[in-house]
Amino acid sequence: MIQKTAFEKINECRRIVVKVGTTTLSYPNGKLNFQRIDKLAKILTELQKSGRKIILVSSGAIAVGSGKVGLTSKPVELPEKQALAAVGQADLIKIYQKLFESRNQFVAQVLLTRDIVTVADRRTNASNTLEALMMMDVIPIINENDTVAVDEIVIGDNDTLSAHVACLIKADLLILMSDIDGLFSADPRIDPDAIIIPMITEITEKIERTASGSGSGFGTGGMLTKISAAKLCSQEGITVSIINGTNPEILNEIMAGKPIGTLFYWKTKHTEVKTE
Amino acid sequence: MHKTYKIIFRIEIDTLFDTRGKLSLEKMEHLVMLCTSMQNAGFKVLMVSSGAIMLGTEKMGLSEPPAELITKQAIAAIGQADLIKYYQMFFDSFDQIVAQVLVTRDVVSNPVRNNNARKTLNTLLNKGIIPIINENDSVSIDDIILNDNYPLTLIVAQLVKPHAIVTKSYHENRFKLLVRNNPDIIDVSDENLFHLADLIKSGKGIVKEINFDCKTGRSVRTSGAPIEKQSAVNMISGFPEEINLT
Repeated sequence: MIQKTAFEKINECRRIVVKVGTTTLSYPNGKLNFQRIDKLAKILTELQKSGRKIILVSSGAIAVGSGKVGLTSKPVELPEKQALAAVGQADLIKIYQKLFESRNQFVAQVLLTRDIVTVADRRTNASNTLEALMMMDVIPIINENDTVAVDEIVIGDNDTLSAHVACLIKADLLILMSDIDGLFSADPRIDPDAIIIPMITEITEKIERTASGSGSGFGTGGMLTKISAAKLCSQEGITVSIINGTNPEILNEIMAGKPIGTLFYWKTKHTEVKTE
Repeated sequence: MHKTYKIIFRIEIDTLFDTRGKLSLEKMEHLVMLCTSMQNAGFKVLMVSSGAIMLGTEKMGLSEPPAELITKQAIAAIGQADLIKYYQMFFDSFDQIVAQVLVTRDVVSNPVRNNNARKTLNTLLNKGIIPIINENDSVSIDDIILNDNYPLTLIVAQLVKPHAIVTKSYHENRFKLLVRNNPDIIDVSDENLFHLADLIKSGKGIVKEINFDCKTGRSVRTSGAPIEKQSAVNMISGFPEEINLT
């Protein structure tokens, strides 16, 4: 019963952070999947126009940068990665801008580092900027500022960044879109009986063990970073949804209350719906 | 091996915008052509560019930049995307790849950041990519308060140790060249900058007299216009090794 309620309550969420990974934005060959990004922009715009406040956390800068300078293999050296991120971020944001603005939705680029967690000034500035953008009905598109941040890019972990952002703006919901369908009960590559766990109300040791066992080999973050993102959100009572981003339409289904993927719905502190 | 010279172009609002506060595509294209031409001549070009707030202001339909700091930050986040888009559009048309680098002041004081920013910039330069640098206004507000990108220009100078900084002259359509280790300025028109690039490339002409590595401290005035020498000396005092950042 609680499960049904939890999924249905998603519709009431007003402040939503959506994180998309590189695998969602690109084809396996690393090139951008414009059709999919276009769909994503369309759905996010619709959600924004419905009165919600959307914040997009997007990876993909390095992939775009590699394509632009004609690299065929993934860069290994850190300065190389950072340089490619600086090239690619500009392109990535240009593409988003084009796809959102064609639907009369303004976007802004916000590059963050881990400072927003540790340094009070930075935290305040970042929060002020995001609040002001939301007030202006602009969708902030966030990524890590790879040029100056070294530790983040090594972890390559926008799952955690998006959780910090969700906490910063007191979001109602964090949606993590990647190439995995949700949290499996066991490693689906080994165990044919593995099923997706539809709802989790508490992160137990068992869940953490399961997550570390079924790490996705595809995305950069894998399941572990998603669990740690969910943990961060649990402290603020923010609902977290893990879904497969292959078909962005799934966002609409989730918002309509369909039980898809894995939902983290905290029993200790349920999300209160804020009025904008 | 041919020596390469690093040059920072400091781009202020009036280098890109007309008097009504609209982005001048003509001015930008001209600037981009100039920078690409310098790059093609063998220079390593970096740009420190303002303009994000102006573009954000226009996009959001405001008549002038907001006074309130927080709104300004938001406007900067909106406009920076546009600024880099326009740059990219023009640079693409000249087949020049650019990168966006947003930095905070702590690239000077924080050794890890300092090292990363330096490495990123040098990697970009080595790849023949022009970095377009601005302050990351979303998380830091130093420049936005100052309304001046000269401190940021000096920070970048400290990171990459350029041979010269090209900055706006008070005379219209002219640039000033601040040459490293030489508190002298060369007042040049952009045509002369082009010329300079050609001359450097051919290894002939006035290049030796302009003396980019400045061992002799000599410089050449490529135009007859007077130079505000004293003020410039004050402005760049200590550039670039002993920048006093407070």
